[in-house]
Amino acid sequence: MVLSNLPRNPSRSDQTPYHEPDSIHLTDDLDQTEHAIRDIFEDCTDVIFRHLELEGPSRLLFVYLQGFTDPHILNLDIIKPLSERNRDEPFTADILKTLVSSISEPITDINLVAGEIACGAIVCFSQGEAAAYSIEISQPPKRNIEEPSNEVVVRGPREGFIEDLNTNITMLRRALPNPTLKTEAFRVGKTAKRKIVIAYLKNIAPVDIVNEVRERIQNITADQVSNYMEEFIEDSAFTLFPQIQNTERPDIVSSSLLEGKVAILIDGNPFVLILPMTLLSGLQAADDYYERFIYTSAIRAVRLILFLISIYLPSLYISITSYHPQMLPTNLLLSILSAREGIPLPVVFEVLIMEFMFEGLREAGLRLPKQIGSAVSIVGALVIGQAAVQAGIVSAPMVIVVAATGISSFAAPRYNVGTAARMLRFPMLILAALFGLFGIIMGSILLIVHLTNLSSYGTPYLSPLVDREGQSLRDTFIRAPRWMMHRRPRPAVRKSPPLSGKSRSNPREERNS
Amino acid sequence: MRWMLHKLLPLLVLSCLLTGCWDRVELNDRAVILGWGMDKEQDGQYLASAMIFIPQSNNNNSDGDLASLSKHFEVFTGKGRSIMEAANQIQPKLSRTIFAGNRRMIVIGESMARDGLSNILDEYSRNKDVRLRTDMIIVEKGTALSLLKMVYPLEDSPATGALKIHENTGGLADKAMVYFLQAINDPGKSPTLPQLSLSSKEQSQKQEMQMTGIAVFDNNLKMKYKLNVDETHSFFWLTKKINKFSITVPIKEKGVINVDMHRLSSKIAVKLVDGKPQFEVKLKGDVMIVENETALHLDQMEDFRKVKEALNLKCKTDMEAFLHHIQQEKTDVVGFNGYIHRKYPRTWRKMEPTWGPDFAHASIKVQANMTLRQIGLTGTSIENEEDPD
Repeated sequence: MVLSNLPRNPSRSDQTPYHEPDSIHLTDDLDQTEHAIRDIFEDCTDVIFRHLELEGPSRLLFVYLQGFTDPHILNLDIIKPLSERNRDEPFTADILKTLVSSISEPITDINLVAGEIACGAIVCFSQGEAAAYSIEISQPPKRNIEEPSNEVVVRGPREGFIEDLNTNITMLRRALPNPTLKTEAFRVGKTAKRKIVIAYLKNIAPVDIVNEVRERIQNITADQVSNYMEEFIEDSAFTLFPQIQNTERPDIVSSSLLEGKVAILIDGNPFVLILPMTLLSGLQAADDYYERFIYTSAIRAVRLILFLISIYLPSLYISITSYHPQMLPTNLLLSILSAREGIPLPVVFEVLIMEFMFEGLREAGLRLPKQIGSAVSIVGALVIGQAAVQAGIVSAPMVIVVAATGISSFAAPRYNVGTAARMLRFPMLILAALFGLFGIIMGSILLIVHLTNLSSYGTPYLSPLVDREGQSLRDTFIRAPRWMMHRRPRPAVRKSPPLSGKSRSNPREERNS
Repeated sequence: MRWMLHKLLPLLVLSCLLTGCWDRVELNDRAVILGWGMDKEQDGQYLASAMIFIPQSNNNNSDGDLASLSKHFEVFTGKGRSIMEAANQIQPKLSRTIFAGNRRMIVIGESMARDGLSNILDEYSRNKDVRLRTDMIIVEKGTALSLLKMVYPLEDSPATGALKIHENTGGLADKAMVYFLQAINDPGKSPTLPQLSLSSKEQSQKQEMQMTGIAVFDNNLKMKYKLNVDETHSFFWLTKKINKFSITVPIKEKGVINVDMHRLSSKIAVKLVDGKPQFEVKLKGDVMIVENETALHLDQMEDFRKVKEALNLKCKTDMEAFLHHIQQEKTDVVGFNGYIHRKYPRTWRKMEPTWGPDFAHASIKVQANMTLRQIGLTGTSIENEEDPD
């Protein structure tokens, strides 16, 4: 419903570059039109055709999908006033416009009309007019607003986005009541035309980035899009690091928009994409801004250390024990030595086995029904933790290392940043096994080079660490008190941004053409 | 990406095929040396002994059998006409590679020390696996082997025990070797090492070890003489290695007072008079009285002054005795040469060759100015209260 307040822009969805079925114009004969529409929606039991015979020559036809539109609203808001109006006056589109606000410009292409119907709009045809009007009063089924289970906060708003786009926009508006909050709508997807809205603050978000987002979204040629449209519009595909942030929390979106970022809301998806993303924003949690800044700064240090631990701890263990034992304090060396006595495997394979088992436990626990979940944790803790040590297959320090690494990989507030760290530790592990600390340092140099190369919509991925502006460092490793962050952190756009409107085309599409 | 695929990937794949040195040694293939001993035998041969950790799996004695702890170490020895030969005799006896990276204690028998250490020091500073943070200790009238083989009840190994005894009696135990190497490289300064002695406990076969002082070496790295415990305290005070210890102060005809001294500091000033150096040593510190065995009323100003004078005198005479001893032996262990070098760099060059004998004749004046901070909770000693004096 909220969308109706926005400038509707049907021409944008016309611009889809891939080939549509040839456009067929509507005729002014209502029977012929109905026939054509019935042809298109053959075997669709949920399409309703409703005729309205008005006095005089006017005859109207409403076509809509059953579940999307409440028939009472249609009756009360449109049909009843139409039947009760002054009968001498001939029917025009203007009359419809006085009844409902969310009405489109006249559509003449029958395929576009069918598309509107498929999207859940009510389309109104009238006898003697070679155009149709789509009315959006649909109310598809949706779930209630709940607290997002992935991003729980101790303090702060408890509402999360849901699948319904209009509700999401409403929530965003409520969090950010300002007329400069722009919400541009697109329909994306070749077969399933899903509604997508990009939201930004007009005078704050850099125009370059907004234009780039628009362009990349329009270039998507996938069959359908969902949250995974991230893959089509991100800068670099071959990297472990996410370049577009996703969140279920309106407060995160609103504060990101205030920082000059752009949000993408996708219909049917509770996750809102935020871009550009930087590595450090992946380590910031919503809680950071609700708790006192001293505590938050300390917690951020913990989080950063845990992030590094999740990448480096197993590889450091390998390299120090098998290449550089002189780095260990004597007593620690002696206890590791005692614990490892009688272990059949070299330390590298010990780590690999344990890490593999940990990933297995995590993966299995993720999809299990809740009732069986506890069984997995018991088996995991007993079999892997205790029994393996007692049987002398793995050593106790190794279990500690793997467990510490596993826990710290979940400390990253964004799940996909933690995933990157978890993946990274395997190459690091192999480098450590082959070359010791030297290998770890080489791996880290490669990693830093890679991170420096990455960018998200023209913003360096390591920004603001690599920015010249010192101000923006106030919300990185520490969180300065709110009153000290008086300047708006602007996404740093490179002077000549490598923004070429590129978006990855669907590989299937390429093969077809 | 393409660059990565075309250039980096082949390099990475090919590197796996390369053979060559690979210094990865599984932890369980290493024999960890925790203490190292060097002795000279009666027949002139050298005896190297290595105290090696014997790992025992936790699974077998998970009940935490503390009695078996001392068995976790085993001493392996090697004999030879040269030091390297003796050391090389150890590896053939071991099923695992020797690893000296965690060796924190080098023990040297007195006979070896008197014979000279110049041969063995090279390895200790050159080997890349060996850490510089190592303690070195001389076993007075004993062998390194006997120290490494003894059972020390407080710590898990006698090497750790010796290290911690050294730590507790002042000085940075970890830096003993570094200090020693630094002193060697300073031609005017005589190197020193701490000294332990082993003694049998009464009515038992167990042995004890005890810190007995400092061994002083000449410039050929041969042990010359030793400083006793009191002299060691003065030495450490002057070189700022400790800042607290306790002494007993005799009061004229009245008994003794025991004091704790802390925040000790010392200052050495030098000036050249007629081309000859004159040193002035100033001692300072805070003093706390812990025991009063005299009849003095410490809360009376007069008696208080007496104590203070006696205290200053005691510190002064102790320090003078120490300085006299080292001057007699012509060994500048404190590093007085450095003070001349820093203040008169040009003159020092002329003085350098004859510094040994010159040091013996240098005049050193000692001034002690201690501050009596606390006299304790009671003013007079309880026993002697009736004494009207």
